[in-house]
Amino acid sequence: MKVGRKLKKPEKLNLVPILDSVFIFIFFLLMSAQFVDVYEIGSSLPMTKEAKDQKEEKDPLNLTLEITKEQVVVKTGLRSPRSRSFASTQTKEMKEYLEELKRQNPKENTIILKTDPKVPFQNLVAVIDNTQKSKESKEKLFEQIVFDNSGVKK
Amino acid sequence: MKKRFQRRREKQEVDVDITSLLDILTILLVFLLKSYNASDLKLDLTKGIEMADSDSKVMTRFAPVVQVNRESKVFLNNKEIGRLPASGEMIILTNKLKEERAKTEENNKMKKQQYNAELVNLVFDKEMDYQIVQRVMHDSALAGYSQFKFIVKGNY
Repeated sequence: MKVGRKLKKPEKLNLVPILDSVFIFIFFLLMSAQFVDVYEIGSSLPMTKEAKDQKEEKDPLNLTLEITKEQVVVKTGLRSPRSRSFASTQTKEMKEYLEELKRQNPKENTIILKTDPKVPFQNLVAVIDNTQKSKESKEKLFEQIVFDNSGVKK
Repeated sequence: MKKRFQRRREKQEVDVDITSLLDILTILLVFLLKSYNASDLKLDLTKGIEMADSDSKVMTRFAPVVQVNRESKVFLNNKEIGRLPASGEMIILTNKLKEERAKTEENNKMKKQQYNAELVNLVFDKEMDYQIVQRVMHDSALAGYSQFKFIVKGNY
């Protein structure tokens, strides 16, 4: 005895609503697309506050970068100032030195930039990049940027 | 005879293969999602500016945009307001920025929006000397802006 089976036709998926929503989504994305990735680097005007009696306290880092076209001089300390120069090509060495300073002074996050008026903006941005994040650990270095416009002594 | 012509053939449903169309749409969707920027700042770069490259990954925020191109022409929110003088302050820039700041503060009071009224976005050509950057920052500070954001291009 044969058992008659009805052949089932495969049901078709209705893709029309999903296609509609995908089209709308694409249109929205196309309208809001920005094909150049744009980011920001922040800086604030220097704030002033009354200095406490710092005789017994640790010498503040007072990290200052003097930027010229040829070199970057990293200066530290108020009472016993120290400085170290890096050629503008020695970005790796400078970053390592800044990372070391951060390890020694983990609470410090301010950096003062004294820039020569003739330095191109791209050079300044490159120096700022080196002061922001550590390369390996991606830890923050000196995020608070203050511009000192008193000029660089040559 | 007439009846023979009136008879219509049964219509067959035509299947359209949309697989390839769906493939294209999916690729387009992924590409657009990848290049989507959630920032509320829409920047139209003016002629004669090539932005500096940077490793920064900080998203831009809405604020007045001051652009200075290679010819020292100054634009505020994409409108040219003049050329930077050879020396001294650019009074028109300070005045226009003061107006912008007043507008932002008024809108903030009316609770239409909540934007930082001390923030200004600065766009410079990458070859521009720091002295021009310094002067624009000075003029912006005179208008009451104390937070400067340099707009840069992301490095890949």
